[in-house]
Amino acid sequence: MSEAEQRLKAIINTMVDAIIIFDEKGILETFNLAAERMFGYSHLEVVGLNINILIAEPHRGKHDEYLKIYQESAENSAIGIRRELVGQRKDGTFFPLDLALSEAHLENQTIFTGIIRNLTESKQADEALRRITKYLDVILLNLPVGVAILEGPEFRYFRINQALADLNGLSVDDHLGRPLAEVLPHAKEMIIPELDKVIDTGCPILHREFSIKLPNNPDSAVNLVDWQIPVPNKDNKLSAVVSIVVDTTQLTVAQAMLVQSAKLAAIGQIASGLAHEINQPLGEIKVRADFTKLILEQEQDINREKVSDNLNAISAGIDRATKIIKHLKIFSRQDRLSEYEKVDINWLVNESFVLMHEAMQLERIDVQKELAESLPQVSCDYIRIEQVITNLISNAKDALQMSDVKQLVVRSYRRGNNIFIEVKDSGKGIPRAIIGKIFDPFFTTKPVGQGTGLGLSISYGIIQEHNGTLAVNSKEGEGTCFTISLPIAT
Amino acid sequence: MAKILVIDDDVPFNDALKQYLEYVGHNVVCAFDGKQGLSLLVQTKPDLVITDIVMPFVDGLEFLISLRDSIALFPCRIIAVSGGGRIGGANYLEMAAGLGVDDTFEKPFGMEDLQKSIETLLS
Repeated sequence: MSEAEQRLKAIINTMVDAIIIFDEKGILETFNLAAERMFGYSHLEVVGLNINILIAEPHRGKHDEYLKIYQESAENSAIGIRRELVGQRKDGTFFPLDLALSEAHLENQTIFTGIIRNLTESKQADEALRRITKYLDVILLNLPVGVAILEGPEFRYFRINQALADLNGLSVDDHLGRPLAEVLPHAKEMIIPELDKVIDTGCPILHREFSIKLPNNPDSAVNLVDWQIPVPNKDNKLSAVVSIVVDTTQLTVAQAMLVQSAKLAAIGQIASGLAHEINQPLGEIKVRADFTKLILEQEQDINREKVSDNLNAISAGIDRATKIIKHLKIFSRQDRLSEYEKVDINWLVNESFVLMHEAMQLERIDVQKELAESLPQVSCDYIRIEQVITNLISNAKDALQMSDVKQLVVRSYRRGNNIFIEVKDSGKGIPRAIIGKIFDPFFTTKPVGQGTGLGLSISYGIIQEHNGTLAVNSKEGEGTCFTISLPIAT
Repeated sequence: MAKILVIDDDVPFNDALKQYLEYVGHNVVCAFDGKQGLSLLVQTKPDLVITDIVMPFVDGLEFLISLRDSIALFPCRIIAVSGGGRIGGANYLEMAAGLGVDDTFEKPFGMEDLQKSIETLLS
């Protein structure tokens, strides 16, 4: 062997890829070390044999044909061919391989050089990718939340799941490949500008609430919450958006029902107090009525003044009872429209105590009212503001239950163009850790069944609607002060 | 006729009861909370106390507990009245009955019934 030959042999043998060389008939001439490792044969065992020995059954017989086709095909001869085959090892096991074949014309023969790569790992990766794609498809399809992937400047539907297709009132296929604006004509104003912004800025929309009328049900609007998340492509440019949509219409109804039941629970809480409050005037009326009867029965010369006094007292007692009942009726009314009136806030504070009077006495709470005189009026839906004050008083009452000092101070005062109402208790205060959550819906520290966690969140909403603020200031061990501010009526 | 102490924070009711009872010939003193009631009890030594339950400062139940401890010093009959209502599961008047009152009335009640009860208790 010449030095050149030896060099070549050494190079071929040390190549990382398996290299085989065979002649026109497929007879193996060279079988390098990597090929030995790949197939489990020694070169001594295979050199001189047909290449078929390395190829698994389905392809084996055909290999001669491939070779023939290869040899006959002029265009292939220049660039070589590459194909995937199943190889067979000496021990009979199979593995996927990639064979890159090229030919070299020598003086009196043509030889073929094959570079073989084991595809097992990349096949496994492909399989894993295929599985994960399949899983994601199943998840996407069955997710109760609407999901779509929109691609390109026209936001064409690349994927959409059943939930979102149902929400749009169309089939999945109705969407695929079509631009958003074509599928949902109403999207033009409502959605596309937002998506453009998401792509332009790269900032996702996270939890946007909106109300929209969908083409399949133009009569009633649905409440939706959406998330629009931009996704970069392989050039790191934003070109696609993952769109997640939740229909909260039902939830909104359920929440409204919960709010109503929270109100009813509050009424239930004061119901026994209410019976007590009404029985006071009724008790008095009964005494006066019996008294009058007695006078009429017993006196010859009837003392008209006494009778008249009693009847006046009866009348006043009835007014007293009526007022309480009326109050409850207003408080519990369900779907009343907001009515804004100019009211004196001090009057409202006193009204708020009508239903809380007995509860305060029972808990032996020392109520102090420090109401500033001649305050300007506030324009408000006074029943709802009263709901807020009642709620704050009721919370203060609960906070004072375990306190040694049971003091409740309600103050009213003016600062600038606002009227302030403070409800301050001497309870144990609100821990720092939770003070940020107290206005959240359904957040409660009360035992199960005693608090809905809606009182403060509803109150907050009501005050916001009035362009006011509801703030809390609390020190652990010293008590809590809620401050309502409302603009003075103009 | 008897000396009666009426304890009730509801002023119109207290007033009506006083006028009625005086009209039928009793001698009536009025208190508007349990604390005032206790001091008037000591001062006037009434034959009968008619007390409300839900009151500020010292409520009717506390008043009754104090009275029970010193009933030997201030012997009197006791009637509890209430507009109803409950603390937890217990009715105020049932609790009052548990504290040894002689009779209970839930507002509103008829004056003939009250008068009959007073007559029976003081006979």
